[in-house]
Amino acid sequence: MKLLMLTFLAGLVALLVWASADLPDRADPHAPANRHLSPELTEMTESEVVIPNLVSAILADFRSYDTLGETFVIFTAGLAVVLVLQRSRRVPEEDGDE
Amino acid sequence: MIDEVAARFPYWATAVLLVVGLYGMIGKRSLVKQVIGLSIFQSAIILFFISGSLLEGATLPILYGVHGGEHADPDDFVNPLPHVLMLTAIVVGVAITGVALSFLVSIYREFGTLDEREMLDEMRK
Amino acid sequence: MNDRYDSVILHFVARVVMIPLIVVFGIYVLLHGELSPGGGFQAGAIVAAALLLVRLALGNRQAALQIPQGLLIWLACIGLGIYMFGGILPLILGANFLDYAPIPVEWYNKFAGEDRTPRAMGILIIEVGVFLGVASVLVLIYDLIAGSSRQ
Repeated sequence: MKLLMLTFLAGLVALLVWASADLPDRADPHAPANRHLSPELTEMTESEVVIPNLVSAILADFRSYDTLGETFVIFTAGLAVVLVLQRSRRVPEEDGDE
Repeated sequence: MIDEVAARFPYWATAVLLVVGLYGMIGKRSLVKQVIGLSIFQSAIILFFISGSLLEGATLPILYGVHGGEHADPDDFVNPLPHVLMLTAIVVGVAITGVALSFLVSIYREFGTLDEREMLDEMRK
Repeated sequence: MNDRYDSVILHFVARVVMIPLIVVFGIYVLLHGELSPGGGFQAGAIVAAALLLVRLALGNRQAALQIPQGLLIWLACIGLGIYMFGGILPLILGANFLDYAPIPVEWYNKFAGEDRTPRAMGILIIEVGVFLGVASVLVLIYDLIAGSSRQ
C-alpha cells in the first residue's frame, strides 16, 4: 500500500515535470500571461486610479468584488471557529459552579 | 543545459512541493500532519503563481513616477495580477487553517485522539 | 502557552519595544497602502501579530481582558460594514456598486493638503475595512483555539 502510494506520487512528480516543458520559461517577457492583461491594467491604473501601487489598485478597485467575497470568507471563517469552539465550551459550564 | 535548468527550476520545485503536500494529506495518519500537508500544498500553488509573475529586468509593481507625469512602461514591472490573486489566497489559506484547527480541537475533545485509524476504530465500536 | 512566563527581559522587550513598534508599523503599512507595498491584508496580519505577541509574552488571561472576544466579533462586523459602506456610498451618489468615481474628496484634500483622487479615497476606505476584518478574525481564531486547550 505504501509502495503503491509512493509510486503514484513519483509518477505525479514525473508527470508535472514533463508537463512543465510546455510552460513558458522563467521570467519570459513574451509569455502570454505577461502580454495579455498586465499592460492594460498598468495603463488603466496610471490614467484612472492614479496611485503608484498597482497591486492595491487591482485588489481594491478593478477586482473589488473579489476582495469583497474574500472579506466575507474571512468573516465566515471567524464565525465558524466561534460556533465550533464556543458551544462545546459552554456545556461544562452549565453544570459547573456558576 | 544550465539555461534549461534555470528556466524550468520553479516548475520542478513547485511539482516536488505539491507532491510533498499531497503525501502529507494522503499518506499520514495524524490529522495535524494532514493540515500541515494542506498548508504545504497551498504554498506550492502560491510559489507557482509568483514565479509566473516574474519578468526579465523588471522591478516591483510600484509606479513611482506616476505623479511626475512620466509614462510607465508595463515591461518595467512584474505582472501584478498573480500577486493580487495570491495575496487573497494567502489570507484564505490562513482562514482555512484556522477552521481546520478548530475542527481538530473539537475532534480531539470528542475522541481523545487525532489518529485517523484510532478514530475509525472508536467510531465502529 | 496560556500562562504568564515570568521574565523581566521578555516583558520589557515585548511591552516597551516590540508591541508599540509593530502596531505603528502596521498602521503605517495600512495608510501607505496606495503609495508603497502594503495594504489592508498585510497591515491586518502585522497588527494581529502584535496582538498575538501580547498573548504569547504576557499570558492569555491578561491579554484577553484588554480585547474581549465580543469586541473582536464586533470589530470584524464593523470591518465588513466599512467595506459595504465603501461599496454602497457610490451607489447612493449615482454610480455602480464599488465604483468609486463620485466619492467627494475636496473636503479631505483641503483638510489634509493632498491631491487624492476619488478612486484612491475609495481604495483607502476598502483597505480600512479589510484591515479591521483580517486583524480581528486572526486574533479571534487564536484566542478561541488557545483558550479552548485550557480545559
